[in-house]
Amino acid sequence: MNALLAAEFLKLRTTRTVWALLAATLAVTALAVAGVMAAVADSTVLSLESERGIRTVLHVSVSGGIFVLVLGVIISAGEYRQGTATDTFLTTPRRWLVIVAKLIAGATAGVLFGALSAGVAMGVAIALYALQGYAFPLGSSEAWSILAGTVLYAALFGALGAATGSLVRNQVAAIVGWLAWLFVVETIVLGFAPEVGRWLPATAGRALVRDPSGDLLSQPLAAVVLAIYAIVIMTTAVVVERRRDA
Amino acid sequence: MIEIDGISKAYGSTRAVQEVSFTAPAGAVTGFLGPNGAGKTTTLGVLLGLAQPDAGRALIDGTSYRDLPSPRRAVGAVLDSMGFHPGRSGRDHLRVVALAAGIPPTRVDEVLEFVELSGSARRAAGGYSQGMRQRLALATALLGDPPVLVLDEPANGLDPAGMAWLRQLLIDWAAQGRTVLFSSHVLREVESVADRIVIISGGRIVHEATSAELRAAPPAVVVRTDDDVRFGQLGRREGWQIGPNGRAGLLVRGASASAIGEAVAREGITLFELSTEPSTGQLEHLFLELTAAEAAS
Repeated sequence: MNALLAAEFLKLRTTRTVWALLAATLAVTALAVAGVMAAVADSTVLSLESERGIRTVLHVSVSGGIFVLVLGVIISAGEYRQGTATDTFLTTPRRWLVIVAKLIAGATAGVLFGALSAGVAMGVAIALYALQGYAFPLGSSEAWSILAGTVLYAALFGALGAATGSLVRNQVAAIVGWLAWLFVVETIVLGFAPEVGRWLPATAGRALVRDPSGDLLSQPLAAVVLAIYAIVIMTTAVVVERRRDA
Repeated sequence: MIEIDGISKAYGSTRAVQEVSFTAPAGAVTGFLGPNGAGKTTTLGVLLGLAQPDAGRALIDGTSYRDLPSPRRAVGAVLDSMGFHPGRSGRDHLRVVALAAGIPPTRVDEVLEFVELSGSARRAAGGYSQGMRQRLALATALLGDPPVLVLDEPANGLDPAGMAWLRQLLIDWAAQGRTVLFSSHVLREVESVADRIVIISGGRIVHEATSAELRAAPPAVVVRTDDDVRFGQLGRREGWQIGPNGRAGLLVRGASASAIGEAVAREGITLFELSTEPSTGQLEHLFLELTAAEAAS
């Protein structure tokens, strides 16, 4: 498993895809934090120093999360697109090992993306707070739990992407499917049945970063729910793969 | 040694291969010959653990591919379905496979040297020519220095010089006592290297022989006449085997050209052509007959 994981990371390092996605993630994160800051700073009802103010500013640290999901999908489904899956399965005929390694690789890449996103979000927030004449409340446990949530969010969505890519095998279908789910289906479900919607991936993701709007799950529960989704999709992929040809 | 033992596989209602059995011994080049769509790739896919057979099994030195403890060190494979990430260099592709397979990284530069790709190894594979891609696929197969080589249509995309190089490689490989199995739909490629030939058509093995056996087969005579119906009647009386020839005319076995000429003259049938096939051409006729019979049924 160690060699397989090392090979997955080498695959990522030897193309430019991962760096392009990382750059996009961090750029979107910085823009999102700056945008929200501007809106909150103009607000007469919400103070930047209040707990709700901090949550409003920092929870958008996962705005680039979709790129982590895309990276996860590329880690697994990309092998079918490029035709490298054959070589991968010749090296490791026990395919469940490959599927698990890809999930771990997606989650690990997610930790990196999440940690850097958290750093960028924090950096932008500190700078813009100072610009507004406030000292960012570094002692706020709320801030740190959001940043920890950012790292977990990226890890779990990286894992979700990798698991989905193994199941679906088609990179474009997996990405488009996720976008439709996250931005259309969930929005609709949340509108009609919020008590169901809060358990769904995008909304659980918002809970993970303490989004101040809506009645969301607790942070630990949201992490568990997302991890269960990833494991269920991965297990389905392993079962389906047993009956598939490469 | 490769043992294919009674493999059948269907895709939906299409029977890709049916009860395919043959062996490829160590120390020999075995050519797996058949027209496109005959079941070559399906058979090799089952052999390499990429596809599950409905029945039968395939063994590599007594073990099925999925049970090999270190498959890359046991078997090297070049398949048509293999691709490369266009943004990853050839050398990095090999580094990835070596890392996953536990093969020392020093092998990467060795195999690049061997397939004469060192000069382009650090360039992105997206810019490679078909021949360079084929060499990279071969380098990947050779990484583990395996005793068994399996190649699916390896000549595709190679220029004549590359072809000659590959031919020598396969012959040398077998001479070292290794097992070489390669598929092709082009007869000449098989004829020029293979010690043994297995012909597949319509998902079934239709012939298995050594090249020497094929060369020793009784000569065949190509005949063209003005009246194939009467010639057919004559042939039945004389006990000849008459089959279709590749482009035109008939192929007759069981009689020499002079015996046929005399008999035809007695019947008053006009001959347009009467020639004995050189022995090298016999495999071609056998191939065409066997595959044509399948296509007709």
